Amino acid sequence: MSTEPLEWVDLYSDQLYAYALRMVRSHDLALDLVQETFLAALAGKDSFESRSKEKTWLFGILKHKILDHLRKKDRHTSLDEHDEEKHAWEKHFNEQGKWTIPPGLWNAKAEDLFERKEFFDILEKCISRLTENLAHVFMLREIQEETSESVCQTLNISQNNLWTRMYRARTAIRECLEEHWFSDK
Amino acid sequence: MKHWMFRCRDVSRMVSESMDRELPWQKRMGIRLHLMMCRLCTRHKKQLEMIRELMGRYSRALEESGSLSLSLTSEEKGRIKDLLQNSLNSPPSGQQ
Repeated sequence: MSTEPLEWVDLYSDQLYAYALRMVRSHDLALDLVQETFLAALAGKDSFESRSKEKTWLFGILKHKILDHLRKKDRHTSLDEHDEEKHAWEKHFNEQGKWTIPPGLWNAKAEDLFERKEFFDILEKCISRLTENLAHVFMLREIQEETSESVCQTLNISQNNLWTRMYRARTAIRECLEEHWFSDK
Repeated sequence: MKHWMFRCRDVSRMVSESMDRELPWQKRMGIRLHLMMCRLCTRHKKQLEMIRELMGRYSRALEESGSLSLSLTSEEKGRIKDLLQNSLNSPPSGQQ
């Protein structure tokens, strides 16, 4: 082990905190998770030699704790409860299933967009506006890059529930970006 | 597969679903045929793919740099270090 445990705090606590904060949306909770991560790492450091890098290892512990947290927090609601969301994502189509509000033109490449702070801020805002149940699945799949199986198992939801929530989340993000970035570019 | 299953509303949902699991080949074929004829659904699919790419970059940015956002205060870091120090100084009672 190259660095002392106390050095980990200086080296990695900001990144761990930034990640946790986005995933659980609460400063106090993010701080708790970071703290628990360091304590767990300290307890397990003797078996560290087999891990690749300290930072990757610490992030692995944090991500597990985030899964545990979301397992308790997710409301396992049935899809019918989200009637408002249902109307939001169905309004783009008419009775014949054709587009009524079609997607606009997005003339940009992801790597160019990402260089711009204003875009980054808008992306963050759009993610933060997702309702909790949509945010849970969306962030686990697209930020933490968990498999669909892992998300279903963690949140104890059916595959159908996952696919529907992901569709609604992607729709919400797409609309938000279109409204706040692409519509006047 | 009935032809009415491949209207834009259904295709837009199935394209999203294909990002979370592999669809049966009949659905994949139906989607592909629809997309060949529908520029709006093609556009929509590209936008969902871009969102995925953006989220991937976002994810890496979060892990690489704490400067993207608020960081912990030095007091908060100090308290974490104290906790770790206490843990180092007083091993679990079973080991004494």
